[in-house]
Amino acid sequence: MTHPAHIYGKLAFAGTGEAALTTGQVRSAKDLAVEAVLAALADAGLSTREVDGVITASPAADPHFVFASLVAEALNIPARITTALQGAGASPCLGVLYAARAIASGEAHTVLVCESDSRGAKFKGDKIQAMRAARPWSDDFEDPFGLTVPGKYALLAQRWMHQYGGRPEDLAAVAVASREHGRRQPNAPRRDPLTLAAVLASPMIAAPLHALDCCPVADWGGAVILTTLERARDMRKPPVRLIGGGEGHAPYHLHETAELPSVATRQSAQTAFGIAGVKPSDIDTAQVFDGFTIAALLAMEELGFCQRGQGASLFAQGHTALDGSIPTNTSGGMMTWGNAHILVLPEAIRQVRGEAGINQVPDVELALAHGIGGPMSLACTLLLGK
Amino acid sequence: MSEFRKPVPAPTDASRPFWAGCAEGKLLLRRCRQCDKHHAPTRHVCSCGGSDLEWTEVSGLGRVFSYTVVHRAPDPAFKADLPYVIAIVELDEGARLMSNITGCSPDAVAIGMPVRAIFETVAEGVGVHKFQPANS
Repeated sequence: MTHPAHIYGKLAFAGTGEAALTTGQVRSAKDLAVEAVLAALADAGLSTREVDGVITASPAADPHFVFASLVAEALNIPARITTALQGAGASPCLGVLYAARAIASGEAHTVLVCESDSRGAKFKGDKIQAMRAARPWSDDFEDPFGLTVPGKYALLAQRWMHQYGGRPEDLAAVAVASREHGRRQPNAPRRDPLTLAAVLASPMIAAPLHALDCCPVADWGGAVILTTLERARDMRKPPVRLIGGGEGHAPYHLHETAELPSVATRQSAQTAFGIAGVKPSDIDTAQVFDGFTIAALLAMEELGFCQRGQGASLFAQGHTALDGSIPTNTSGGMMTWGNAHILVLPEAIRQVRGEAGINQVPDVELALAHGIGGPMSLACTLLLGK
Repeated sequence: MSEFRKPVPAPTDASRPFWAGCAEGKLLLRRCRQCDKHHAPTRHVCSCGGSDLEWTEVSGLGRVFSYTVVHRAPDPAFKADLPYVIAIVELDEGARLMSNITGCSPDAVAIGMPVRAIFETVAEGVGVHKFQPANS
């Protein structure tokens, strides 16, 4: 199989936007999407009439059977392509891949990719209920045993600890590292530093995962705009090129997913790096799914930023810090802001533009964004560059 | 009778033999007639490409591949069981299943621990497989 390398390098992100984080007030997934999209269009200096494609994630807590059409209608977008993806946490990155394919085929020229959901206020921050809402169907091979989403990641964490001699504090180091980035932000929800002891002292959810190994639940909306490099050059902000991308797949049921490491992450990374002709050591900053500490740790190992089993020391020894070898989740990630899977994209774009403010990594030429869904059944890696 | 019932499998045409097997105290897997590989009921086609799979009773013996001790229940129906153990069990025949480990303290469960299947009938013609330490 040949990689569709010709489309990469000729596409660029022209805008990015997020809905304001709110607490307590239940907002619809549509309203959140509209707010984020309008912010992204303002960032690009575009009107909705100049957009011709809408790709959304499928909101789980506020579902609709044609969600992308709903968003396109609200925004009065003359869409030539729309679809709502079912890639869970990988949906935003996957959406960019689908947008790239649509633009490459000539079916659309400027595509919005957005993700929004209202899991936070609706479930009053109750992680388990919000996670259940994220999976409203029943599964006869999991539900009778009382399996939860944190439980799934806990099964992966236990296996990782067994294979590599890891300890719960190794997982906690991921949460501590994210807080260090998150607490520096002007609008940070938490300003105090997090300690390993505090993570380990937080209530046990599904051993070995404590409450602070799991991201908070939030309402969110985020959007990015992908277009041709040629068009992006005429827009308000300097273009951020999409230079590589790939998706990866593994079985959905965790009992069917073979040994660690994560096959889906590996496959997506190999494709993306192969297309871009770069390697992990070329990447200046990584933004990866961190809904659970173990998820970010496994992702970093399989993306190739360290040896398998060494993910914990990457976080614990400061390699993922702003002045480390691979500054990771520089916004504070989902661990800080809640389960907004799309966060990886706005932050990767800001880092390449040099707009990441207090958490800007110097001289970013290449950024990586990685989404995981399902919980390990699909993954998507994107490479962004100047 | 508790107000909240635990989820009960709703057999489909494809999965009915598995749940009926559990109700009769038998653990059934799908065995590929082409290459002999055993599969969990979630697979309908073998990795060799063969789609001629037959339900086969297996030993019910296996080992814990991974596990978690759940402290926050997904549903009030599970609250009385807290803390309970969910495990992926690798059967001696090769396939893996999601299940619970019962019959021992959660602290006693470890990866690699030998286990054997036990069954709970949860509805007419529907059983659920669980595992307990093989030596109990």
